[in-house]
Amino acid sequence: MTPAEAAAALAHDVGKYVARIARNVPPHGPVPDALVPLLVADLYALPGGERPSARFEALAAALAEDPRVERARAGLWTIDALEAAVRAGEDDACRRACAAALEVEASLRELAAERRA
Amino acid sequence: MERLLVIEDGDEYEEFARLFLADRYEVVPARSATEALAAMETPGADAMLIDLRFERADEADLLGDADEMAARLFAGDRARAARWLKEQQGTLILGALRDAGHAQPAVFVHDFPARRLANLRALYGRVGAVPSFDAQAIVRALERLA
Repeated sequence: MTPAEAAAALAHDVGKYVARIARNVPPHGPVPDALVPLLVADLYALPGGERPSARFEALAAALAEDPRVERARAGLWTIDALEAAVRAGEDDACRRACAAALEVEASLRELAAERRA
Repeated sequence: MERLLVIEDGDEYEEFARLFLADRYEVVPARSATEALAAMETPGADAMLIDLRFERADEADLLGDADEMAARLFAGDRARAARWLKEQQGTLILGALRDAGHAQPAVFVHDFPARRLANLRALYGRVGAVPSFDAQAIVRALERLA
């Protein structure tokens, strides 16, 4: 896999899906209870069941060091660290995990756009 | 209520559409070109939401012939051709739908480069793209194309 292909796969496989529900959580008020299990599914199991942080590391191995890779990695670490609280539906943790997911998506999308240019 | 044909190889788009677009659209799912073409006949749809990459689909369910693609585009590299078919399956399905006369607006959730999107529009007419699962942006894109 070339670096450009790895960057495209990161943006699609990790960034887009980790932020799928997070991007649409209502901006104000508590995170609706009905969205919590869907948020958990996006943050901790990609389509196919792999953990986003694990998929990220597998694909990022094909890339040189890059600040956007580091930002995405940090966001995924934050998401993983919040797992118990997010699974428990704690509102602050869900909000912080959503913010991290959007950061992951933005970083990986920017990286993919640059690598294909 | 308008119907939205959701074409993908999993269930993430359908789940998303039923959660966040259900006040605007009745969702009609399809998991392959065959299902999409059948759904456009019955019950039909007013618009399409399409996944580009069909990574999880069986090769037998994909549009396109990997052997032919390998010979024509990839110097005989069949594995690369099969991967390309998966990575571009959404546009191939859209092409089949257009060939069958279904000109409804179609939106991809993908961050296409501007030139690629312009090429898709030249080929397939009313095509839009949003870079992420943003319900409001998807509705706006479909409305612009209607």
